[in-house]
Amino acid sequence: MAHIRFRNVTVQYPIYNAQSLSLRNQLVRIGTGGRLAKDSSSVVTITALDNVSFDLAEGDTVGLVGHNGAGKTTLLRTMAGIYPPVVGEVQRQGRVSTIIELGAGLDVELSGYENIVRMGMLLGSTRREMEAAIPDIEAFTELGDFLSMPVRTYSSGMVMRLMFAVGTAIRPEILLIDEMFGTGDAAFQAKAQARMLDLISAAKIFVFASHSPELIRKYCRRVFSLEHGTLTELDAPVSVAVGQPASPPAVPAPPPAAGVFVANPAYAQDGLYTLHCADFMKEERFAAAYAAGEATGSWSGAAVHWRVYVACWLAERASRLEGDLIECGVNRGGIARAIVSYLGGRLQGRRFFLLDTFEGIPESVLSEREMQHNKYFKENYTECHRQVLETFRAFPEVVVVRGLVPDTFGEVDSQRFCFAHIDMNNAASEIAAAEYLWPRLVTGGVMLLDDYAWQINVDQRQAFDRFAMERGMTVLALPTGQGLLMKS
Amino acid sequence: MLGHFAALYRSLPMVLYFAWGDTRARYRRSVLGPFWLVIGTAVGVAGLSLLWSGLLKVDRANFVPTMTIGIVVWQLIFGCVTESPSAFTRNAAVMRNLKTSSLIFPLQLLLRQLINFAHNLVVVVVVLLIYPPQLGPVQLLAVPGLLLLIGNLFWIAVLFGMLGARYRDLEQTIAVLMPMMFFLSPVLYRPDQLGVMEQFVWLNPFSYMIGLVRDPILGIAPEPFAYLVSVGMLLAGWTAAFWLYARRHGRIPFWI
Repeated sequence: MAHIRFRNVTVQYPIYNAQSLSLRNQLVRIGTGGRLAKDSSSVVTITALDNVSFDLAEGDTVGLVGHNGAGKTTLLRTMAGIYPPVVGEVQRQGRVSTIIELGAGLDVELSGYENIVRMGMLLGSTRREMEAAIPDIEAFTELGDFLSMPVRTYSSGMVMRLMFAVGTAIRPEILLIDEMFGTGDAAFQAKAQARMLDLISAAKIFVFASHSPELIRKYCRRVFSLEHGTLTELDAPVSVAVGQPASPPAVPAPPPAAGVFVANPAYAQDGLYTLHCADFMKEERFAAAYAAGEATGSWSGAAVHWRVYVACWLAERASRLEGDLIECGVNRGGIARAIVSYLGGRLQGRRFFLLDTFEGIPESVLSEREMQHNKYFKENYTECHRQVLETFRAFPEVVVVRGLVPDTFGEVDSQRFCFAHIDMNNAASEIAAAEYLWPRLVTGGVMLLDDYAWQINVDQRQAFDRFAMERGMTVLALPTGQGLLMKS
Repeated sequence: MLGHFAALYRSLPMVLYFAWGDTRARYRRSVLGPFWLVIGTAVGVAGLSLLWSGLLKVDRANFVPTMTIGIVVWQLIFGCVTESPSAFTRNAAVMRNLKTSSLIFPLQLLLRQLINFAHNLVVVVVVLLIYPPQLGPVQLLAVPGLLLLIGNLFWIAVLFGMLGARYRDLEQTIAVLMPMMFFLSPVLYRPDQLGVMEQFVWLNPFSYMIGLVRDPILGIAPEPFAYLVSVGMLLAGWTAAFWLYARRHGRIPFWI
C-alpha cells in the first residue's frame, strides 16, 4: 500500500551567502518566505516546514495552496525524500515520480528518445522498461520527429510534454507535481488531464501544488494550505471535487454489511468521471455504431463514448417522430456515422443532412476567444469532403451539403426536422443554425449542442443561454459537455 | 552506509548508461566521436616525445613509454580530481527534483573518465608495440594498481564533491593547483631519475597512483611500500569520505 506519513516534520535549510545579512533583510521585507533565524555563523536558516504532520493513503489526491515561498515545493521535495527533515519522521512507501522543475533530469544535448530512457532511469525504471514505454510516450507527446532531436531545440511546452509523459509512463504510485503543470497548449492540457484522471483512478497518491483553484478543485479531494511553513488542511470542496473512488468521500460510507461500495469509476474519459452505471458501453448495437464512427478518424483518437451514446439515443427517440435529421458541423462524420449505424433500418424513408465546409472553420466567423482555442484544434479539421462522401456512399438517406452554415440551408430540401445536432465550434454559426432550425423542429424534436457545457466554450454557452431565454427555456447541460434543447 | 552502496550497485547500469551518454553527447555530430580524444592524446604524446627526448637527450625506448603511460594515467587523475568538486553541483537540477542516490554522480564522473581512459589506452598499446617492454608476470601487477587507483579516485570524487558543494572555493583552488601537480608528479619522468629529490616525490600521493599502474606495465615491480601507502590511502580516504557522506549526505541538496 502506497502511503506517505509525516510526523512533526520540520525542515530547515541554510542559505550560504556572503551577503546573507542583506539577503535576510530582503527576505524579511518581501515577507513571503519561511521564518528566518540568524545562525551564529552568519548563515541564514530558513524554516521551510514547521512541525508538519499528516497521513496520505492510497486514493488521496491533495492540492497544495499557499503563496510563493510558503513551502509548497519544499513539502513536495520532502515528500519525495529529497530533503530530509531536521526533526520528525517521514515514512514513505511506493514508487515516486516527481515533476517539480521544468527540464530537471533532462540532458539537453541528448535527443528526446535518449532523455526518455535517461529520465525514466532516474525515476527508478530500467532501460528496458523505458524502451518498452517509448511507443506510448511517442503517442502521448505527439512530438513526432522532434524526439530524435536534441532537447535543447524544444520549446518549454514541448519539454513539459516530454517530462509529463515520462513522469506518468513509469506508472508511479505517488505522483508529486509542482505548479508548472499549467504550461503547454490546450490540446496537451486536455490530454494531460485525461491521463491525470486515469492515474488518480488507479487509486494512488497524487499531490499537486498550484495557484489555480479550478485545477485543485478538479483533481483534489483534500486541500493543504501552507503558510510560513505551517500546514493546515482546509475543508475540502468535496461537492465540486472529482469523484473519489478509492476512499469513501465525506458522506459516511455504508456499513460493510449494507453491501457494495463501488471502488472503481465506471467511466473516466472525455472530461467525465463517474461512479454511475455505464452499461450502455456493453450494448452490442452501440459498440458497433461507435466502432463505425471511430473508423472515420473524426475524433482524433479520443474516447468519446458517452457523448456519442447521448447522440445515438436521442436520434433513436427522435426518429419515432416525423421529420428529417440534420447535423451542422460534421468534420469526418464520426457521430453521423455512429447514428446511421445505430438507427439502422429506422432511417429508411427519411433523410439525414450533413452540413459542413469539410475544410475547417473559416476564421471570419470566430470570436477572438474562439480563435485562441481554434489554434489548437485546427489540425483536426482538414479537407475531408471526399472522405465523407465515401463514408456515406452506401447510405442513400444521407445528404452531404458542402459550404458555410447558414448559407447552405438553401440547399437543404426539407422543412421539418426531428433531430438537429449542432457542433460547429463557434457561436456565430451555431446560433444562426439554431435560429433557422428551431422553428422547423417538430414538437418533441431535439436539438443537441455538442460544445455547450465545455468549460472553455464560453461564447457558445452564453449565446445559447440567450437563445434559450428568448424562447422561455433553459439549456440542459449534460455531464458529457453537451447541451440539450427539446421542443415542446 | 551499506544501504547506500546497495542502492549504488542497483544504479550501476544507469550510471554506466549516463557516463556513456555524456561521452556521446560531447562528441555528437563529430565524425570520429570519442576517438578525437585518442588523437589528442596521440598528438600530445608524439609532440612531447620529440621535444623532450631532444631536449633531455634521453633514450627514446625508455622515455616514450614512460611518458605515454604517465600522461594517460595523469589524464584520468586530473579529470577526476578537477571535476570532483562540481560532481554534485553540476547535477543540482536532478538532485533537487528527483529522488536518487546522490552517490551516482561521483560514480558517473569516475566512469566517464574511465571511458576516456579506455580510449586513450589505444595510444599506450601503439607505443608499447613500437617500444615493447619485457613481458613477464610483473605486468599482471598493473591490474591491482589500476584497481587501487580507481578506488582512490572514487573516495576523492565523493569527498571533494561534498566539500566542493559546501565550499565553492575548492573547485577554483584545485583548478589552480592541478597544473602544478603535473610537474610535481612523476608524469614525464620516473621518480628514480630525480636523484636526491626523489624523497619529495613520494610525499605526493599521485606518485603512488601513477607508479603502481605504470611500473608493472614497463616490467618493473613496484616497491611494497608503494602498495602499503596506496592501500592506506584507500582505507583512510574511504573512511573519511563515507563517514562524512553518511553524516551529511542529506544536506547536499541544500548546498547545491
